[in-house]
Amino acid sequence: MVFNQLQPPRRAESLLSRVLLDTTREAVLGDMEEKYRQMAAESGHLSSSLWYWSQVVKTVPPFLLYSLKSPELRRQIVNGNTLFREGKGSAALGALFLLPALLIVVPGLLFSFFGLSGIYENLEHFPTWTAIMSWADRPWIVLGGLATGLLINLLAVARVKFEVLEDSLRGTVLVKRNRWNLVLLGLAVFLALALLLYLIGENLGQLL
Amino acid sequence: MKLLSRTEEALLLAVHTLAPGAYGLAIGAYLKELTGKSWSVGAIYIPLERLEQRGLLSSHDGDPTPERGGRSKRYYLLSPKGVEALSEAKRLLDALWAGAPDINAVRHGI
Repeated sequence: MVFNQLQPPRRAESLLSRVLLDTTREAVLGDMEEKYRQMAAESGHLSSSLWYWSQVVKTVPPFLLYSLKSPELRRQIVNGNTLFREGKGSAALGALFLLPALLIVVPGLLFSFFGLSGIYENLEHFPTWTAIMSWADRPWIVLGGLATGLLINLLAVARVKFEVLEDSLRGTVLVKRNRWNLVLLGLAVFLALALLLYLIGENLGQLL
Repeated sequence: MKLLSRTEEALLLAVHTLAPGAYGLAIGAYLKELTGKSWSVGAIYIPLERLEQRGLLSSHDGDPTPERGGRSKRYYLLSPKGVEALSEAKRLLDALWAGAPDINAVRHGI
């Protein structure tokens, strides 16, 4: 095996890459690879791979903390890029926020469709058609679920901003424009429309 | 001007000594040789980034090389502000040492 054809452990490299900011990524990964190849030539692939992993384990926490404190990352957070990373610049943010964001969004979607009580009461029957229809018979569960799901989904991906104007208050919801956020926003709008139509349908008789 | 920490001072001195070839790996090897301990990538690059943000260092990228997987080296240089900070650190240390009793005499109980 020729040493200069050896590559550093890809998983370790990928992990390290995710916590580095754009400004240092190339330099750090280049240094690591250069050292890795030197070590591989001197002491073999195994010990150089172990060295690489040990460096990654030692280096990821301080780089992650540093990335979180950096102005570059704060700018990315303010831009509302909280669910999926947008380019390499937000690598650290993406790694940090992806899992928690999904943990919020998935239960949010479940609440939306089934409601909290619906999930617990019907879990063992899931996903029979009878169970699904039984949830539809309890409008308060569906309504509560829709409202909770809508709120959680929006909070997971959006930045809500309030501005006090001279004689009014302006509220804006900002969502970073990427495929996944748009899908979630679409779902939220769909849920809101469903809720509105349901309320109109339920109260139409009383209003007329 | 904010005082330099010992690590920052060591890094600035390493950059000063190794210039114009001061990049992360070379700095780490130099410091290991002098201090006898290994410096992780984070222990080198994070303070270097901070020093650059404070205007004490400047950096530029070299050409990509195959032994680095096509990535380029980042070379660091002392900025005029960095030279001033190092000079101030040396002046301060010299002044402190000049005013202190001989440490070797204390060490040997003289």
